[in-house]
Amino acid sequence: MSPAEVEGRYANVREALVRDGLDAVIVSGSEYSTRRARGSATAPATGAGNGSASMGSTT
Amino acid sequence: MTVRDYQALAAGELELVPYDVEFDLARSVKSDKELASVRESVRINAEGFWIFLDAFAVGRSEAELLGPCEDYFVDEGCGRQTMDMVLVGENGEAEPEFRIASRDRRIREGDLVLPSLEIAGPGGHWVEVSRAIAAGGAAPGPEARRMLEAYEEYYEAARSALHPGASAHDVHRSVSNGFSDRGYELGHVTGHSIGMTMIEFPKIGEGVETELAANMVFSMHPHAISVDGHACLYMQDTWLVAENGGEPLAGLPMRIFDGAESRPDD
Repeated sequence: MSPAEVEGRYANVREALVRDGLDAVIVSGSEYSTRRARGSATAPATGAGNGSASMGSTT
Repeated sequence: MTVRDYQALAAGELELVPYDVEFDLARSVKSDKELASVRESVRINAEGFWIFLDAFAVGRSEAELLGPCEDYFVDEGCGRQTMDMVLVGENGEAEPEFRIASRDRRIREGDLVLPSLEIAGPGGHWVEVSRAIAAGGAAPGPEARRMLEAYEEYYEAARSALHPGASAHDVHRSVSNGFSDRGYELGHVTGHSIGMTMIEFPKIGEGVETELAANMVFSMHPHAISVDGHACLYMQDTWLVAENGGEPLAGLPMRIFDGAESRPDD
């Protein structure tokens, strides 16, 4: 996946966070929602986690 | 989120708020790259249905029908992102319970078999495509035939109803009319957004006023159930909201198959 595609998807979420006055979103995965092993690791906004990932701060 | 993680976060200084609906809505309109991924998933899913149909024969076990599909899905890069089940019944009518394909139960003449095929291809986008299959004899039964009429009406209604600017509520009403007019309960949502997770918001359902936009993708699968609760019809399609209306991405004809059909390009 290209960096531009990844950034575009993240940008859509960040725009929603700004609109709703939130600082960050935590995405929790499961065996149905992630291609990676289950877990509870977090990752920076441009990275990828295991089972759940923080999308990073909007501020 | 696990209870363990939630408790640890909630005990700190963060204020945690639910954001499921808003998060899904933020990613409900797909980019061109995402749509390419969706179309590839649909191609794999639809081929899986044809493989199920190729294997379909009286005397074979349910697992023997679904096994070749799973082989194909893994070969095509789905990994373990598949959720495939069957709904089966005798005398031409399928029971409304989703079941794991049995290694012991064998297809009998008169069975109505509804494979439920849900996969995510290499790009990670989930899709859902399937059709009912009749095993000769009494199948499809009178209830299934009547439900198919409603399905045909839903399929045509969705082409015009799934347009940018329509509300999810209005789409639900349009596609469910044929079922409710015939007295059938819909035991499952008529549809839902689908993407990197299998079931996302917005749902296509009563009272959902979310406005549809171009390049949203929906899985539609009205689950019609008879009044006595012992007959159903359940067929899945993945739809694109295009500028001029709904586009069913798999291109499978809306019908109950009998095993004699072949792929369109054969």
